[in-house]
Amino acid sequence: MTTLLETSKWSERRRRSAELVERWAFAAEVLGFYQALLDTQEAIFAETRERSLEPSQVAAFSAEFAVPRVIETSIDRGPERLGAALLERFHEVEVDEIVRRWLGDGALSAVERYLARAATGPILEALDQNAVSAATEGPRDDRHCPACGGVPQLSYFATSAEDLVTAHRYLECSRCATAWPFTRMACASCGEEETKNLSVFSEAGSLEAELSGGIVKHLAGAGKDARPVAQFPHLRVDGCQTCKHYILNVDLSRDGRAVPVVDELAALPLDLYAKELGLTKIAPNLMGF
Amino acid sequence: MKTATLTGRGGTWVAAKARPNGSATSLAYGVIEMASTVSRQDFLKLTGIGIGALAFSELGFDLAKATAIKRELRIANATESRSICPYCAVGCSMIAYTRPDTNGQPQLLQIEGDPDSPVNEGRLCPKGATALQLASSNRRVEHPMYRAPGATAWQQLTWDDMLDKLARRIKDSRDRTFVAVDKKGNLVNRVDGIAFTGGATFSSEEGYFAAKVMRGLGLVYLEQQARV
Repeated sequence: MTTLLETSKWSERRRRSAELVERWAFAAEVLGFYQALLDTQEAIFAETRERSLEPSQVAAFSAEFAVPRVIETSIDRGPERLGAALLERFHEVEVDEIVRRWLGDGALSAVERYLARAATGPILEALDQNAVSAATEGPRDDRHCPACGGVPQLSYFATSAEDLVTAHRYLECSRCATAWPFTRMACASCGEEETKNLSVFSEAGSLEAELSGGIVKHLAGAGKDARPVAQFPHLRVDGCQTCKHYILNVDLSRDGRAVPVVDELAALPLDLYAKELGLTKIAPNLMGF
Repeated sequence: MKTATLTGRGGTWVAAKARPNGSATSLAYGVIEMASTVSRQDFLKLTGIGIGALAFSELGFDLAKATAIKRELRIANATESRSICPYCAVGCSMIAYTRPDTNGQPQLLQIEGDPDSPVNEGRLCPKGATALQLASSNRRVEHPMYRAPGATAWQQLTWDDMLDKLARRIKDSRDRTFVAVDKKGNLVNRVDGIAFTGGATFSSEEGYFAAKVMRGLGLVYLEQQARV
């Protein structure tokens, strides 16, 4: 049975996608497709809940039930290249083998990864933690998901109940969307803690003094009318000079309506910026960025 | 009409799909024809997957608009540093964000509580939360200011003038209130007219130095909020 809370998870993702399509025209194609995919994913999630799956059945269920539906949605609503690649690819490959490799951290092409993830992600989200744990492989340490051992997709700062309290940072899993607390000032990929090697690339206008304007002496562009307006005041690129990886961070205290997984998906310009700096995302997101 | 055949554990699944708008799907047809003659790696190359210079992503999303926005972004590398609140003796941990200003000098732009600190777990008191202003408020007084006894206006002094004035006052107060022998006839050599208070940002070395200087003058009223 799907509970109200779980239903709201999908509707929250839909709500945020619709908001960001309005706000960020550059993300309209990605989010438009994502919105279509969310309906498919919610159906997969609900079907998983209806059945009592054993962990060993996850790959087969994904291949038989979820993958065809994801392919259908992708061909219908996705970019042509993706549709074409999906058509080409699956004449020759055992789909459940792709899913099994994804569950086991095996190497996959971008299209395979997309397919396995889009189809199997909602299944893992529907299972309880023990089942997820038994169905997946991967290290269980503070830089990997405690449930499935996957690498983090994104990082976010939670909101706190009080203005004077800064909330914890969390990482959210790229495989099963579980979130776990993580040190604020450390690389989520290699664990580097030396702050001189940790770069925070944030837009001018996104830090406290710039947002409020006029507090800090000699602040360029400060002042109520002149202050720079950031397009992504709640997003930043957390880069590590040691391992050359980055992760996008969503600050929910800056934008309480943000849904990290959706905002991360839509933040294409920041991904392009990070790529220009020679940084690689710890895990490409669902849409391959 | 596009078709795909899927082979999975459950048997074979065939998808047949036309684009809703009936648009051309020549790429898809071309791909299907190629599939029998080229390897998968060649296919990926041919379809431009992994070629970052093109305006399309790996999965075929158009990146032109996002690239244009990226060019407009004014992004700077902010640095996070751990620090400790300068005010009281609790010693709350803070995270300070600096970003280079137009001259390349680090500019302090944000301070917040450190959620990983066992001391304050991200919390700051109202005074600590405004610590940014202690460092860089545009209301901060940057020169010594002097208001003479009975005067209504402040005047700006140089640091040299201010230090001379302080030294003069200390010397005068000390000479006026110095007690060599107390009422019972004990030799005490103390100054009753000056008290000294050290602030919380004193380091151990500064505190040691201050205590030595003040004791050397004969002060007995010494107070210190030392902790860091």
